Amino acid sequence: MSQSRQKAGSPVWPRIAAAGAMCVLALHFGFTFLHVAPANPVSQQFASATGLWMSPFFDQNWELFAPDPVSRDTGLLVRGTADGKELGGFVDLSTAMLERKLHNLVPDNLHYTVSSASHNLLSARQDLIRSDAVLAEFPEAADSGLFLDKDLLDAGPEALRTAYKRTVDAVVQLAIDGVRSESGVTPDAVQVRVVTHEFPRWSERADAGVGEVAYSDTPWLTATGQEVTP
Amino acid sequence: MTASTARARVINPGALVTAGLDWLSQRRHGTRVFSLVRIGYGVTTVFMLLINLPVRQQIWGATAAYTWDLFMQTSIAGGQPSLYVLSANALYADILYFALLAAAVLFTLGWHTRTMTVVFFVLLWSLHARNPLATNGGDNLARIILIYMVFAQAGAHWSLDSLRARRRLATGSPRRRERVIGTVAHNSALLACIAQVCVLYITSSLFKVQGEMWQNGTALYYILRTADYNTWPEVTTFIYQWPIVVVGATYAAVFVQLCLPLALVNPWAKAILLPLVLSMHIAIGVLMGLPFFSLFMVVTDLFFLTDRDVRLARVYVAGFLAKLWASRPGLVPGVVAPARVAGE
Repeated sequence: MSQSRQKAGSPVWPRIAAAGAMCVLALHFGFTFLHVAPANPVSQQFASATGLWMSPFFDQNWELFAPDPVSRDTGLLVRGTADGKELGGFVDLSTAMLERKLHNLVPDNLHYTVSSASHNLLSARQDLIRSDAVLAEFPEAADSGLFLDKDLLDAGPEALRTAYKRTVDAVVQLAIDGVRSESGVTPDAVQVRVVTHEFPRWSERADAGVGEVAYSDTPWLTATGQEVTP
Repeated sequence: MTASTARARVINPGALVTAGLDWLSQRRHGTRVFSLVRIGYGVTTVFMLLINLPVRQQIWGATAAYTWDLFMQTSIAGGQPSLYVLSANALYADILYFALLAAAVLFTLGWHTRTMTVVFFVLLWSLHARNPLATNGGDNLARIILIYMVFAQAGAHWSLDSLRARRRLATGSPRRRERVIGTVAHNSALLACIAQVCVLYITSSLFKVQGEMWQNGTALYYILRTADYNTWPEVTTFIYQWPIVVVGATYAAVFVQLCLPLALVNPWAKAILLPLVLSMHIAIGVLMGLPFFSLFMVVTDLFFLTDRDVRLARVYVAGFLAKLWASRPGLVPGVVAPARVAGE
């Protein structure tokens, strides 16, 4: 740095450019910090500016296996009807995906399309029934089924409601696709069953068997996610 | 240097600031690291696209369960632009897919690197937006780093661009002057990449320490036993029967992530933490069946290296190869140890 001092004739503008670049970086990582930090008074104050700056190109979420990792298996079973007739029984969408991954060092990305769909549905539902707005009107929201009623949904914040509807749409399309490829017929209504398998907890880890299995069904739904009676 | 001048340097904040500004504007740092990341991202993407070739239409094309209508709701309306909005046609989806493949190859080779970085980013972003269900955290990180890389000189080494520049020099053309503004942008991009990686590791570890399973040291058991990630049940059953392995690896994962930024300021921390985090990502890739996530993370971890580390590593590798083929001199080109450059 004594060197740079000696160069009295060296132009000053590279340093100005560098200082400008540092200001941009400071601003950008200031927003990044507010974006990834838990909600706090400052992040709430600048929420709209942060969203504008970060979304969509710098959106990020690093809750990788956190705060708690997944600790149960989630599977999707789907069935459909066409013209009032059921198209075979439940089709298992998840097992085929698990088989693609088993003993495969480089599986393709297809398995994500099923596992993400069910995980997204469950977490979008969770976000809604735990939101303050919903709990204020429906204290018992936690007991509601996989498919939330219209009343409960309407009580939720719009962003969460849209996110939930999108995850339902994605699962319904997955179900239509699954039934169609199994039966060859495009169903006009589908039902989705989420299977949750809570495998043995740490203290019973020597138990190689099946743990507790629970099922949760959506009503029969049309392609647009409308409830119907088949 | 005498003690008094050393003290003067420490207590003079103005000199520190100008030194920092000069570091940013005088010379391009980390060009080798950027070139390595370029090759790593490119190769990983090419690999990913080839593996997904048979199922590409089912994930990103006309037969996707995540239908084009569904995608249209999340794309423009949801603020996620994508070239896929232009048509639902299967042929168009294929054109974009193979264009991305070509862009990834040219990006890897470093052909008009800066332009290819933009093209590669736009096509990769478009693909990810087409089906948000099929992406993961590795894709997210790579996309952000690619935006910063647009401002960096990522084709300075091991690239067609550098080959061309050398050929131009050999024919007697003058060396192209590096523009100061480009140098500032390049070094800022390097800082941004490093900062982004630190944001990832620190937030990821702080989120984990809040979880009960990370606290009681059993998180790894639950991850390994979840069917989605249990690629080798025979191996994982063997691993998770040892409490010391499960608890040790669970805590290590958190501590390594939390402490990794220290690798930037201390060479000992780097020598210990960087191999640990690389092994962690390789283990995730192999044991949990997440190869592309793992590769993107491993490549991005390279931002913890400096150009000097990369050159030293080359000398070691070259020395190792030379020893291996000691009987056949002339096979390995001579490589000299890098001198410490002022300011590095």
